[in-house]
Order: sequence, then structure tokens, then C-alpha cells
Amino acid sequence: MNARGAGRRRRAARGGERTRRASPRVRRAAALALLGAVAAGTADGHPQHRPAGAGTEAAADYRVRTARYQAPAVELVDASGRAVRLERLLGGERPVLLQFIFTTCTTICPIMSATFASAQAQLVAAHPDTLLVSISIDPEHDTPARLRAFGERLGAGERWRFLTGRAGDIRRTMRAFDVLYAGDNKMYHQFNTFMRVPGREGWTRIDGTPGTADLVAEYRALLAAP
Amino acid sequence: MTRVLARIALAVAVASSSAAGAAGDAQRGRALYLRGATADGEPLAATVRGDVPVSGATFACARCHRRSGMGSSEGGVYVPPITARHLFAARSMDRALRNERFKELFMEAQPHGFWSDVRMPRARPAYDAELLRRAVSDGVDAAGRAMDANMPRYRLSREDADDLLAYLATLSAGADPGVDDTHVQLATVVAAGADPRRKAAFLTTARAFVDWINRDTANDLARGDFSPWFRTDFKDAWRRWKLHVWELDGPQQTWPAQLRARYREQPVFAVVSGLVPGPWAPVARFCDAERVPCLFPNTPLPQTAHDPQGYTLYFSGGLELEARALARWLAARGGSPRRSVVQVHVTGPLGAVPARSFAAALAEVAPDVALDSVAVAPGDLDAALRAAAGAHATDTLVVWPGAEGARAVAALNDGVGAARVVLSSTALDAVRDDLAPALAGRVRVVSPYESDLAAHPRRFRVRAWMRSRRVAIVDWFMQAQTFYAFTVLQYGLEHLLTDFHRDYLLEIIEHEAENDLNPGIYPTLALGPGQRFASKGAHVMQLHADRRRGFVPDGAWIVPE
Repeated sequence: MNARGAGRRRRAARGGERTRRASPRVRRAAALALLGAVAAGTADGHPQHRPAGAGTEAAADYRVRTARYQAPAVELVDASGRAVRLERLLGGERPVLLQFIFTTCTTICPIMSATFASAQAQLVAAHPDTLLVSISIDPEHDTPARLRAFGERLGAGERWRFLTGRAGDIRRTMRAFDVLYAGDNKMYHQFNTFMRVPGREGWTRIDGTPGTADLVAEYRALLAAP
Repeated sequence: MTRVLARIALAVAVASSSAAGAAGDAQRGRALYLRGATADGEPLAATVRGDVPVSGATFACARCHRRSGMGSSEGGVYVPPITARHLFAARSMDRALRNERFKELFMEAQPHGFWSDVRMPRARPAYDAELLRRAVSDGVDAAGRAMDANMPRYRLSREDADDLLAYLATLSAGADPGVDDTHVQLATVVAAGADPRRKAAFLTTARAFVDWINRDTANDLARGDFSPWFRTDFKDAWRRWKLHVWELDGPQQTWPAQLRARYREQPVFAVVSGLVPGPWAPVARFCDAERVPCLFPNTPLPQTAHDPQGYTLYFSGGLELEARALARWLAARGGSPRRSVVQVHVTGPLGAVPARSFAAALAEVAPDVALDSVAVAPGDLDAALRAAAGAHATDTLVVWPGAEGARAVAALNDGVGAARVVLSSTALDAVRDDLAPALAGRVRVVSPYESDLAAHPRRFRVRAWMRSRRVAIVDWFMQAQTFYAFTVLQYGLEHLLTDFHRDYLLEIIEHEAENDLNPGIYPTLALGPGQRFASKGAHVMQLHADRRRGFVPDGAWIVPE
């Protein structure tokens, strides 16, 4: 709070204040994002802008790249209250698709989750062991019971696991997948979907919002890749 | 201001004339807007992002555009406002319109795509019935452009479209009561029975804040045409605050009538903070009935039944949360200390409500534990505790002393037979100041507050703010909570600009609460759409071996389900 000039305190400095407090994290996140963007355009990743799927004039483009994420060794809890070792679930012998969501989210989580719901049968058809995982980024509100209700509303099948856990463990997981949001406010989180096939190094990261057909096509392409 | 009023008047005129052509039912339209309920009883169905089928309440209009119709900004997606005055007026290239969302450009950590969406001029004609039906069904806006892919394309019957139009013509059509061109009217609630020293500290803190805001506003207005940082763009949004203190007395059943009488006398835009050392439910009912946001009261007994549509925002679940957290803590301990538990609680809600929650939670998480409950009048608490202290077979003694923390601690100091004693947070001060040193190892206190008081930088700023205004700190947690409630209101009002809609205020606060406003009283304070409790857990605490260092957690932060 700047004691000088009201306008400065109440308007400009307010943004400034937030930036200052959040600065180490925000700057780090910005730097990572920048690095990601640079890497995406150079040798490290395989950046590809995907245009809208055929016949879906509404779908916006999204970006696909690969990254070497390591799921942290944390214990989370699934929607039935059972403990889950995340590194085993995500690093096991089954191909995985992963999203970060929260149940009271207004705009993007329902769309992301609806895409999973709409694609789940085709994803499982593409590989019978396919696992879908949605991790809550609002773990203290999203108790197993709330995740259960959320999954039921979406018509989630048995291949789709919803996870919550202790705030610190969720934060470690988000850091591991480079999805920490700016300003320490979950309302600023972004659209991402991650995919992994066992036996292959790294994860495929999709930034943006593919539709059902796009997501299934990306997953099939990943499974078919050498 | 005149121009804004003229715009609203025009919009409402246009809206009602458009609505007049359609025979829609606004009530049915409201059900469609809020819950996705269609006229024929089927859930609303739509397609989003080209080929993703969606349906029901999760994709009702209100989910993204919110109850106020003012839209939202989340995850890089800009959801534009669709209130009556937005939809039924033409949008032109207008600096004032651009500035409508200027605050988001200025403040929010959003990606570039969001910014360019907000900055897009979006010139278009006003919507009418046919254009609106086309927009909702086909995703084509009034100017003929395709809408964002995140806007679902709905399968709407003609009847549903007419109902929706009728409702949208009323949505946030005018400013809510409690605001005029110069002032925003606010109230705070103080209940009879509040400790006089705490009440004085509460009112001093609240009035110091309002005085501070009003001095700033007066300063801004005195130099209204001096415009560094684009201040004059916001001049029409500045209001002085007028704080009314609503003191409630007599039995709680009479509170709603007292509140209604005060509200009729002076309608307020919001109720901010409050000091109610008993149940908040009578006030909550008033807030819900009048649709007045009631922001973060100081109360140990919130209305805990979760209502995502409720108008009160709370810090935490209060004593009921403590009771549920304690049951989990005991269940996780295992072993003999939990096999027999006795709880002694004072009669009246401060004792009976947590005792009831504790019994229910314990039966759920540790059904093997035998629990005995003893209810005593507050004046008899010491005698009852001395009697319970003699019972050496008790493994854990749980005490819900209500306001009688000091009396409970004095009785415990005379001797305790139980292996462990746990008290509610209402006894925090008494345990810290008066507990006999020999008992320190055996006594625990449940606390919903932050355990590491030095962890939040804002705590030091808020203390400095109080010191520099000579606000005596009598009860830090209560005064810091009060400061937070007023800060949240200040930020919320700044974001409203001239859109004085109460639902919008709540939506902004849901969105903003997680930002760095926490003065260090809770580990985190965060809401989300429809969330009503900003802190969700509690610690069981014990005294540090070095008493001057206060309490340390005994175990992890507990978030009961």
C-alpha cells in the first residue's frame, strides 16, 4: 500500500504491489514460459501449430510439443478416498492423458473436462489400457466427494481418475508439469493436456484447446509414432 | 454520469421493446440462464469447440457469464458481459466502452490472447430477438462475425429463445440499491453480547478504514482533472463510503426483523465485516432474502450448510470446522488415548453446535471410539471440569467452553486426570496466558488460524497501518479479519467501476480473494465461483516449549471433508 496519492495506491500501485509480492515466482514463471517458447521454436521441442480440425470452423488452434517432465513422488487421493502414488500412476505401464482442473471453475475446466468426456471412448479404443487423469488444482475445496460428483456429472468412465491431495503435493505436481499460474491465483490457470506413452521418454504437451477429433488424432499419432 | 444513465435508459427502452415482440417468460428464462433448464424439462444441450457435446447446468449461461451477466475472465478466456444494457445497445468505437474492461488489462495476469480479445473494438448493432437467437444457436454475433470457439452453440427451441430473451432484458438492467452519484451505503453488524473492548477495537478498525478510503477519494476528486495513470478515466466510479453500524439486541429470533427495519430505513449496497459472537444464520437469512453481499463477518458460527448461491462469504467453517478437524485428528492418532473420549460443552450454540458436529464426525471417522457428552451451563463449567478431571479412565477430554475459555483453563489448572485435553480456539488466549506449565504437554487447542505468524509479509504492513492510525490492537485475529473484509470490499468496488451490481461484487471477490490480500491470519484465503469459505482447514496446536513463542502445530493441517 502506497501512502502517497490515492490514484497511485488504489489503481496503479495495486498492480505494482501484486507484482512485487509475486515477483520471484512470476518472474520465474515468465522466464520458463519464455524459455518454453524459445525452445519450442528451436531444436529442443517439436513445436507444431495445429490449425483447426477439418470442418470445425469454431475450433481454435493449439500447440503441441514434447517435454521431459518427471511426475513427483507424492501421494494423492482419488475420488473414492484411496491413496494413489502419483509417480507410479503416471509412470506405469499404461498410456496416460492428464489435465489440471478444479470443480468450481467457470469457463475452461468444464470445456477441458467435456473434451475428455467426449473423447474417452475413442481414446480407450485407440489403446485398451488408456488412462485419463484429472488433478485438482484447488485441493482443499475439491474433496474426494466433490470430485466424485464432478465426474458423475461428466459421465466419466472407469478409465478416468480424479485426484486431489495436500496443497503442497499438488503444488509440487504443478511445478513438475510447468503449469503454475501467475499471480498465485488459480483463476489464471491455462488450458493444457499432457499425454505419455510408456517406454518412451518425455511427455507430449498440448497448450490450447483441441476438440474431440483433434485430441483423438493427436493421441493416435503419439501411439503410432516410432 | 448523465451519459451513462442515458445509455442505460436507452438500453432498457430498446430491451423492453425487443422483449415486447417476443412472448417469452422471464422466470423460465431465468431457470434456463442459471441452471440450463429448458421449457420442456430437458437439460440444455450444446456443442462447444466444434465437436464437443455438452449439456445441463455445467454449461448454462451463468456458468461463464455469471449470475450478474457481467462475464468473467479466467484461464486466458475473456467472457464478455451480456447484461440488458450491453446486449440491447449498439457497440461503437468508444473510449468509454474500451475502458469498461480497462481494469483487466491493467491488473490481471492474463496471456496475450486474452488482452487482444478484450481490446477488440467489437463494434456491432444492438441485439434483437432474431439476432440473439442466431448468436446463441449458431455462434454468429450481431455484426455477422463468428463468435469465440469457447462459446457453446446451443440447441434452443423457439420458446426457449424467447424465454431467454425476456430474462436477458431484465438482467442487471439497473444499479442495485445503496449507491448514488456520490456515496455507497454500507453497513456492519454488531450483536449484543459482544465484549465491550473487542467491540470498541472492531469499530475503531472499521471506522479508521472508511476514513482512510474517504480521504483518498476526496483527494482524488479534489484534483479530478489531474490525470496521471489514467485516473480521470475512472472518475465517475469514485464514491465516498458511508458506514452504518447496525447494532442488534434482544433474542436472535428478532434479528431478521431488526435487520429488515434498518435496511428499509437505509438500503445498503453491502454488509461488510461484523462482530457476532454467536450464530450468523439470522443475518445470513437476511442477506439471502435481500440479496445483499455480506462480506467476511467475525463469527465463530457461520451458516455451514454449503449454499453456492448464498450471499455471505466466510473466513472458515468456524467451530463446526474445528470439531470436524479434531475428530479426524483423533482418528489418525490411533492407540489407547482415543478409546474413551469425554466432551464437556457449555449449553448454548457456542458449545452445543461444535459438540454435535464433533459427535457426528467422530462416529463417522472413528466408530470404535466411545464418546460421552456432558452439557453444562457456562457458570458451572469449572465444577463440571473438576468432576471430569477426577475421572482417570478418560483418555481424551474435549472441552467446548464457548466464551468461558479462562474459566475452563482455571479449572484445568487444578488438576487433570485425562491423558490429553483439547479445547476450541475460543480458549487460545487463556491457554497461552494462564495454563499451568505442568499441563503444557497434555493440552491442545484446535485453531483455524495460521500457525506461522511471521510467514506473510502483509501482516507487517497491516500492523503498521493500524499503529500509524493509533488503532489499538486488542484482538489481532479479529482486527486483521476486519481489515481483510474491508480491503476485499475496496478492491471489489474498484473493479465494479460504475457497474453497481451486487452479484458482480460477489463474483469479483470470488475471483480476487486468492490474490495477496491475506494479512497472515490464515495459511491461505482463496475462493472460487460458488465457494463460500475462504480457508478450509484447521490445526491442532500445542504450546511451544518456550512459552513466549506461542503455539506450534501438533500434526499436519487438517481439511475435513
